[in-house]
Amino acid sequence: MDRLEQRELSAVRWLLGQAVLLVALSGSYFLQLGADLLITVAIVMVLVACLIPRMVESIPGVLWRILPGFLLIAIVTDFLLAGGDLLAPLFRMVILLSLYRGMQIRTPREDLQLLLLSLFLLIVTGVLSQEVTFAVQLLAFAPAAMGLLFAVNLAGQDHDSTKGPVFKGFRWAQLLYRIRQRFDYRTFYSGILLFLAMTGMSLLFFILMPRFDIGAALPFPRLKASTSLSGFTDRVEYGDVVSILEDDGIAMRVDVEAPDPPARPYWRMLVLDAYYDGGFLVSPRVAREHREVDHYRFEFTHRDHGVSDQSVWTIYFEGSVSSYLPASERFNELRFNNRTTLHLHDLTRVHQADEVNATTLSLRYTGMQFDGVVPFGIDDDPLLGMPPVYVDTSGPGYLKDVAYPVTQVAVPGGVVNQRIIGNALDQAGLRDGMPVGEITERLVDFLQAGRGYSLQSRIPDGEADHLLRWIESGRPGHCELYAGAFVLLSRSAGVPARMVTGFVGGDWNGFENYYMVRHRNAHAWCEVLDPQRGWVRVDPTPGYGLDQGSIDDALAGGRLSIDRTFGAYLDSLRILWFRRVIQFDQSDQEEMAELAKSAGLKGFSWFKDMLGRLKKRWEKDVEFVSTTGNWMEVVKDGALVIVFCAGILTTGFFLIRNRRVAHFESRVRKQAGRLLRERDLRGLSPGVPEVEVVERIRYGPVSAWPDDPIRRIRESRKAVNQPL
Amino acid sequence: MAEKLDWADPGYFSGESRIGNSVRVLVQLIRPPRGHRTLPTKTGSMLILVTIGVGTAAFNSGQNILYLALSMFLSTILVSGLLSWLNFKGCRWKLDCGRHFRVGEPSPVYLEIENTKRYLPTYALTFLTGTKNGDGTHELSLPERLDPGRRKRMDWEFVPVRRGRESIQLKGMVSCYPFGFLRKSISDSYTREVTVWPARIPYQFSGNKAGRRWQYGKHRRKGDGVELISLRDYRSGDSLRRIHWKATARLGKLQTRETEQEHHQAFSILVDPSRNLWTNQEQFERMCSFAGTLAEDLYQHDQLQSAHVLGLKRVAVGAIEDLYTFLDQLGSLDRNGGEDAATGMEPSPVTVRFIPGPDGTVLARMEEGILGQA
Repeated sequence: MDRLEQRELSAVRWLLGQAVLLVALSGSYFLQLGADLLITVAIVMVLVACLIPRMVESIPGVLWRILPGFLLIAIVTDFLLAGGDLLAPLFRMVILLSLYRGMQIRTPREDLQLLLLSLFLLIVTGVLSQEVTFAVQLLAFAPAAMGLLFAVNLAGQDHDSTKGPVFKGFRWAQLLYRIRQRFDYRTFYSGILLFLAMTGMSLLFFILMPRFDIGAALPFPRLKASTSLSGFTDRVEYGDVVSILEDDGIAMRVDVEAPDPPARPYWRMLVLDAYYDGGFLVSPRVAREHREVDHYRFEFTHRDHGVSDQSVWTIYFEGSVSSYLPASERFNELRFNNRTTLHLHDLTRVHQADEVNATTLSLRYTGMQFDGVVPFGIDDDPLLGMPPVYVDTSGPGYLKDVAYPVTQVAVPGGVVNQRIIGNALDQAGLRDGMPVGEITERLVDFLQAGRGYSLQSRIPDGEADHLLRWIESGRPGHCELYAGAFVLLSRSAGVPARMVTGFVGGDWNGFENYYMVRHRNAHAWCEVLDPQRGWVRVDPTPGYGLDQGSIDDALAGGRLSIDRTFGAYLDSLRILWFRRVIQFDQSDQEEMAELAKSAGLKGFSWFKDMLGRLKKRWEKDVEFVSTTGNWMEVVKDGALVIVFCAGILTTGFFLIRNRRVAHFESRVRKQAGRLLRERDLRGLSPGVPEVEVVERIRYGPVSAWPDDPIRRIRESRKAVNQPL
Repeated sequence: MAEKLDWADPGYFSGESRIGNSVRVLVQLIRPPRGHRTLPTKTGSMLILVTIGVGTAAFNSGQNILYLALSMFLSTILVSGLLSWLNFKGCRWKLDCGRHFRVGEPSPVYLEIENTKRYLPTYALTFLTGTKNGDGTHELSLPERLDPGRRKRMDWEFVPVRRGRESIQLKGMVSCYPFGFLRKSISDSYTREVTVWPARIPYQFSGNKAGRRWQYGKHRRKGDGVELISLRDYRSGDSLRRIHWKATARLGKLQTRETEQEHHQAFSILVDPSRNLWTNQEQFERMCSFAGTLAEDLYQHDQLQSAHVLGLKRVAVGAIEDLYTFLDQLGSLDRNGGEDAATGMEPSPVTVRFIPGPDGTVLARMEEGILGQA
């Protein structure tokens, strides 16, 4: 048997349909749309169907006639129960319908329906997740879909192919053997070439397609996560940040276009101004008073706070981390890919998205500065010279009476607490009138003296405040304890202070040169109010206070290592995806056009340069001949030119000579045929020589043609046209 | 005459120059050649709708994922068109058929296709065949892949419905290759003219009542006896038994023995197509069928001497080709508007004439009277 049987082709078509569905379902598995169980069941069922296709064929047909009714009820109920959310029930509906089709023996038309449903799943998954996995999915989906369409088209050619059982006596091994037996390398390679051509063409379209200002873009649905990491909510209890430190997952990636980026940048996310025994929190006023702006571009250049540096920092912020967005202390502008609703907390200069994003969010900052100084807030003036306010911090209840900005000078009251604070300030050696810088320095020295860093710090029992007991104990601690203790001591010393949580530093990816900030880079530090400068960053945790300098310095000094592991390589693929695809916009198009233009200009100037050099050489030779009378140099040059021209002519000659005879043959036959039709020469007697020649050219083999067939046709036309 | 190689092709590369051909192909992208059409199928229309939808969403939302999907769709459409073009490129086909077509009898028509491409196979071609006078279109599908340099022959059983000149047409070629998005068709590419003989019909004819008995030795008439009259060149249809092998060997070409008829009753058929005689077209058709059937049967019994359609050259029936010539004449016969051409012709005792009978019947008549009816 020369070819695969129709039954075997039908089996291949069905299996390709299953492959298309599996690719679409596997991509949507990671979407948090409340369909995890359904997708799992669907994937398992499709896989089982693939392994035992006979089982699918043995499902009684009556079931497929009953099922649509039940499906309809389930889908309508799902929409009604979703409470106005359309995306999730729509998604589930498509999965249900795909599964319904996926478990059937399909006709070519049903295959197309399955393809359409799978395509919908694929695109929705891609749009909502924006992950590099979409590219992988697309690369797997495209050839499978092409194969399916091809098989459907072939099946459409043969109407009998869709009738009769397909999997009766089916065995995988047998089908694979038959395919291997009939495998055609030429078709296989053609398929690969076709796929590459299609991919190349897609890329070209993607690059060349005009982009418009996203300011005019319509809002697009985004997936929202239900939770964020515990250390980045409005209330941070001791141990929250530490609990993240054990997580090695990526929290964000930072792409830097700045000339000299810092080796250990501090990414501010959350400012906690209020203290209570057990942790820090965002005071009610700060949480309440914010601006809600819906746009894709946000400017932060307030009075005297603009940054001259216009370098771009792009942060790819992973989903489910926090609604608070990371940033340096100062920057000029923040851009999103889409319109976003942003809550701008002007009091603490923190910005927050309206929801925790479930997927990666791209933030593009301009002019970031990491000098550790936050400009004065709009309500910070009363804090200048304000003494500490002693309150009962055993719980957050005192915040009913104490509001921002006073929360930033509030310290635990009570005799025991005061004693501990007084002792600590004495030991730190603080005196009245000391500048803020010296106070913070002495306090940091005091806290770090004799202590170490430990993630499992045991705080002794006692009546005093939790943090103050730790200060008194002299035991090692972690960043939250150091930062919290510093805030209380600083406030007690008359310097307003607050706690900041976020990320510090990160690993440097050696493949694509960007920061990989992991969850374990989560950190807590402080900001103190310097009347001269504003809110100044202070990091009392041992090992963090030292300035690491720039990336280059840190790398040279061995203080920063480059991550060149396989994991880093895989991660670099994601950043490439974000850089080249997700972030691709009009400016990138302009940049590429500029590159193409400069390459063209370079080529032209090279050509011009070459011509100039040839001309110079010729003039030099001519001069040489005129002075010396030696013609050899000119002859050499002339010979070179002649060889070059002869080469071109010879190539051209062979190209013309090797023209395909079939094309010429086709043309000549057509001319002869036209003449026969026009003059109705067929009706004439075969004995007429003109007719005989034209018929021979039209129908005969090329070997029987006269020498110059076109001339003979022309002559015959003249002869026939002559009046008798 | 050399073997007929009546190939047709899509005409993409009809020029001599490669550059000219390339330019022609580019021009054809904008203005397709006459008869070439590319239209979206239902699936293709759906793809175009999806592409428009995704494109609208992409341009309005600025989502690069949607731009990516849009690019994929556009390239799919483009690649589909390109492959569709490549599928036709290098293909050539010809329509071939038997010589004889008779009303109501299936006659094979062969469609031969050749893939002259160097590397790429051709898939999923459907040829639309039909006739000028017939109804409907018949589809001939290429059932499998046609590899480069290979030929494939497809058969179509054509059953003519009426007598006369007929055009067997290859009305076009259609392909939805590769993905079924576009239906590319090339129309009006090929026609072959044939003559359809009249149908065979039942009739009555009592030949033994009439005709002249040719006596052995009295008239030396050619026949299937044993007495050699002469030798002649072999003609198609001659029995191999009649070949004179010695003479063949001597002359270097096949020679056939012509022997004397020993005992025979022979007839001449005369067909008068004048409009005055045949006022009813249906009756005229019946007469043609009667004449044709009778001529064939008489020939088979070696009783046909000659056949003559008035107004045309008389055919002396010696070999099968002569009978075919007469049937061809009947096939393309029309009622002519002249006077009764038979009037004034010398009557012959062995001549069978046809005259209209009652109730649309046709009568066969000789000197003796009416001998047959159809």
